[in-house]
Amino acid sequence: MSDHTEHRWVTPFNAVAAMIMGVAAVILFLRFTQGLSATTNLTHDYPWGLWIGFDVMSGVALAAGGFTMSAAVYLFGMKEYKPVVRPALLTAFLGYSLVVVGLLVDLGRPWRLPFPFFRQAGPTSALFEVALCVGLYLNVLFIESTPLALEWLGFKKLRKIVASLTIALTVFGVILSTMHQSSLGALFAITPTKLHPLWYSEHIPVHFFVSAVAAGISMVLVESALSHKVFHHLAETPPEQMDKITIGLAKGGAVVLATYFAIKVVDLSLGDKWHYLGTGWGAWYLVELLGFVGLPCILYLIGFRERMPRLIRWTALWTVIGIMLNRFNVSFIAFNWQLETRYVPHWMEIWVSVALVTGGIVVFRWIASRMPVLYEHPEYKGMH
Amino acid sequence: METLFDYLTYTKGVTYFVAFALMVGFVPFFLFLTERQK
Repeated sequence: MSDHTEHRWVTPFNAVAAMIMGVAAVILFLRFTQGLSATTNLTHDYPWGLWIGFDVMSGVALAAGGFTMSAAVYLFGMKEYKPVVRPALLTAFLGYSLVVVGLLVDLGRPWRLPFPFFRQAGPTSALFEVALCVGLYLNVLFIESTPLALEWLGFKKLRKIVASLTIALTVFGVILSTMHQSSLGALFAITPTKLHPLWYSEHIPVHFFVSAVAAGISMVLVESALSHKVFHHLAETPPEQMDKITIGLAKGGAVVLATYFAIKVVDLSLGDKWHYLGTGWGAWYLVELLGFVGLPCILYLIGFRERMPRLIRWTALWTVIGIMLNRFNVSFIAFNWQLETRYVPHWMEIWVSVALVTGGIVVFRWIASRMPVLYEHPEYKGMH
Repeated sequence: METLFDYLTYTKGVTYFVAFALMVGFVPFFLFLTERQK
């Protein structure tokens, strides 16, 4: 199928992508030669900014679609969602790769990448668990994504070996994701004096995990809507079937968001935080809770009940923005809320984050236009 | 540090009421969601 597709290098998309990444390359040169102060607004009060809040925290949450969809299809037997598993796994693999790149940009000294495994404070560290799980899960996602390349290259034997590992990899992926999605929240469990009480919770790991599942489902919906629009000539799943999948995922989204909403409200009560809702921070918290958790939950509910795939896709985008807002709130907006100085990302930080997303889109586009991501390879129909 | 016993004996506030109301509220939510499923 991909053999009939012409690949032109000079296109408006490639030109814009090259410009964004070219400027980002200069910024990265500055960051690695002049340090963080030359390219960011980070300080000792705000050591974690946009690169952590967006590239790492949001990136990991939005890549949760990989384990969510593979678990649904390969472990729970929901075969009707098979057409979205491969794009979800590829998105997750690229998402985690960009998380690692973003983290390296923030941390610097890339040669120290293996340090968490050999020189670290001990296995009780939440950061150690995050490093271990993300490192292992990136490898799991890489292996889970290799059938695309192996089918494209015609390596039948190797593809058969990888296919036989599917269940084991899926189980391993679910375990690792459960651990590090929650551990990212656990990083903030030690900051009760810095994070605003409305966002701080002893149970923040649970909040992070449940919201990541909602983010994963929503990101699969956004990504499948976009990729089927851009690659409509490659996608072999009929629009009616995609609508069915979209409607089915909306049910999952509604239930997960309702659960997340309930957990957040119980947490308000457990911590006796009701009085904070009357403050300015409380108003901002309600914007997140009602506008980006409660509202999309109701919209998913209506979309599923009334069979409205278009509404569901817009709701998915709204949910993705909401989960990003939550990660921004936790990592820098409501962090150090008592300080007078506020952190506002430098334009170079924003540019690098945009460049990372652009890089992900470029690679996804390159792979999806060549390999069997949105269609089944004729020689392997019904085999994955 | 909180233990399971602390949670089981926690009576301050309206947490039990909130949790119960949310659990009860989930039933009509789910019924409304799946009413037209078939």
